[in-house]
Amino acid sequence: MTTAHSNDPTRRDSPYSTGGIAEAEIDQSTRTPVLFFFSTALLWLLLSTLLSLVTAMKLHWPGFLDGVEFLTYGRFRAAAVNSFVYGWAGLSIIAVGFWLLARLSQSKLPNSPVLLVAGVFWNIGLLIGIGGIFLGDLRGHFLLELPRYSVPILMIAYALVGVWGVMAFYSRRLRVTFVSQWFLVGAFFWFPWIYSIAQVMLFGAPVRGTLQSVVAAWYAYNVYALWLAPVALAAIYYLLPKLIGRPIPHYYLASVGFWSYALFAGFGGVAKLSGGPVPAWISTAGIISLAMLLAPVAIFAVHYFGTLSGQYQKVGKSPTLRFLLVGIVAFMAAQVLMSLLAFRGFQEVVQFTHVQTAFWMLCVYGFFSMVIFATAYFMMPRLLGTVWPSPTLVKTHFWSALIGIGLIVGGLGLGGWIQGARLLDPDIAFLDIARGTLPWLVTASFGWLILLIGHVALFLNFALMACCACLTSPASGRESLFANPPEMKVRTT
Amino acid sequence: MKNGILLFIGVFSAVALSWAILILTGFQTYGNLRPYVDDITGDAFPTPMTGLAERGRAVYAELGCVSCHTQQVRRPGFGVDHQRGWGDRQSVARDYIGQHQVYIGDIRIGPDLRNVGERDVPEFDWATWHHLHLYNPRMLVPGSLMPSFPYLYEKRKIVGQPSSRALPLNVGDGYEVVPTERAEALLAYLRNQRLDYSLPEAEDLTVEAWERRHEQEPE
Ligand code: HEC
Repeated sequence: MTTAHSNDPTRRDSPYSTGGIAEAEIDQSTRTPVLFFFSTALLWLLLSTLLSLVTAMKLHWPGFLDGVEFLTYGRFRAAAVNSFVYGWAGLSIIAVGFWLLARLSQSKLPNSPVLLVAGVFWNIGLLIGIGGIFLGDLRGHFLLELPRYSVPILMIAYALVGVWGVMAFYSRRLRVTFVSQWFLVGAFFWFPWIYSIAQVMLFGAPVRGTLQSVVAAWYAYNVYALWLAPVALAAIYYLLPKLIGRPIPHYYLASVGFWSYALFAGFGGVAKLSGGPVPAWISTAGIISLAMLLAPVAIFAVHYFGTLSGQYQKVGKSPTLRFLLVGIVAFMAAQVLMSLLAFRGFQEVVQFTHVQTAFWMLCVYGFFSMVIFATAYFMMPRLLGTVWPSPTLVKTHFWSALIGIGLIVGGLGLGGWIQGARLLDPDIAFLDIARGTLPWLVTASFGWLILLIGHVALFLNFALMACCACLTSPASGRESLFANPPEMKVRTT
Repeated sequence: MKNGILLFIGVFSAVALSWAILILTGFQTYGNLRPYVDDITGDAFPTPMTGLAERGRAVYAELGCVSCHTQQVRRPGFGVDHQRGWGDRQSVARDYIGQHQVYIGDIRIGPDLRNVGERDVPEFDWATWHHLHLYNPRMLVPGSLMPSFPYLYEKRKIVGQPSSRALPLNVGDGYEVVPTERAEALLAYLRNQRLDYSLPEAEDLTVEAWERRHEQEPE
């Protein structure tokens, strides 16, 4: 997977060159499916934020919506998490992923209704699934709660995406040579693979005893590490050099980074089984692999911060870059802390505490969602041929996202650490410790409320933009708030 | 194209490796554990779940108890689970082989439940306390953060004799509260959560073993 060409975004043979087809033409070919997937993803994001807010509130206010079966805490939590992962993340991955793939392979997407049908199926399957969770058909493994009957619908939908992906693959003009493409191909393939294995080994023909817990831990972590994270990394690798207008330094390390990430990430999930009812070598393998993951993470850091170095003044000017930078920092922080806290001395404290939730949010929101937001801010004006109508709403979204996630991760991280430390003192009663976390849980609820405001801002802005795009014909020469940096302008025409 | 196929193979192998090493090897090494049979008494442990308990397992999943409770005891010396009364030894793989779906959980918003079936309750008898607690946790544990599950119980008019299963609750003249079948099933499942037998592989993971080690090498 070594690359002969340069990743210099200003050169003709770079992955950023469109090889003759106008970039706008490629974007146009992706327009309908990307808009469809992204707008439904946004609806799921709004729903899951609302559900998460209620879930968070129920934790410190048990009387809130209590005593009604379908409103019970466990169902809210499952519905919130699943609509976030399979709704927001799953659909936005397809939107962003195909847009990136089309651009990177320098070819128009084959025009076909297959993708839209897949999108409709996915949404219906998920809607049925979330409804089923509230009705009590949820299952008891994290991220696998969706009821039995919604699974085949989701699988059919994903298979259609796959069929279509293969079609797109065959029609491409460029060889798979850029690191973003590897991550995207990986993500699109890894997800169905881990999902089917988990379904079969946990529900179809369940393995025995706590081997189920191994499968469940392996799956849950890989949803993040082998599905969400690779897409976000691909987007960073594409957008960062493009926006900064300079190549990635030490790009030759990219293949080492990619392959070592792919190799070690799969093992990371079982680290949390430390001290659990499984053979000790399993969690040891997880701990070691989390430490090994620091190698690819260091390579990514060299690439990202190397590209950014000396260019931070650009971050203030570009909303895309601002979101991107938060995402990059969150990713680095999450990986380093995860490797560190996996060691047994730390596990003794943080295992089973709110720190786990803080980690989860840092990964799927601080990192993944922020990068997807960045991509959307860059991508949408180009797809719709118009600018984001309200810079104020963009700012509102950015600051709400940053403050909201800060409150959640900070609150639950710190509160969880204190909770864990106090749990190690047998003289403090369990309930006192649990009640001691209340201020932190309230902090997290505020965080969710602020996130909700941000998501509403994003949604409004997007809806306005889509309306504008319908009303005005695509303006070709209009200056966009998210325009390419001047260096690139020269080349793209 | 060549590039594409290589990439595909590589990507496939990467995830296949973690699957093969963790899950397949796990399956080989402990996927077929049998119950442990005590030589002297001939009893087999862990005891299998009854049909009622198995239905209770479904109720446990349905109500999302797993989002707040773990079912795994850490070994003495790694945390203080035993001092909190959550079990005198670490729970090990064999303890779970009787369960069709294993919910070891990963967050403790509430206490661990792995040995709740043998745990003493502060008042009433075991079943009554747990019924009342599920019906309304704050009635027994002021300040509890657990949701209430009153829909597992039925408030009904007393016809003839009050039911022997009625909970000791005062809900107005002529009325009583009785557990539904789901409540009984859930309790059977909780009752099945116990660690009051020993297994050879857990002998080193008990409180006694830990205390013995502690005495030998004082800090
Ligand atoms: C929102 C989180 C939450 C959910 C959901 C929850 N619990 Fe709890 N549970 C708690 C907390 C907190 C405590 C400790 C306070 C208390 O005893 O009420 C507790 C205590 C308990 C206890 C008492 C343990 C002991 O020995 O002290 C049992 C038994 C129990 N829960 C069972 C269940 C069952 C069964 C369900 C599902 C129907 C469930 N819990 C759902 C939070 C939760």
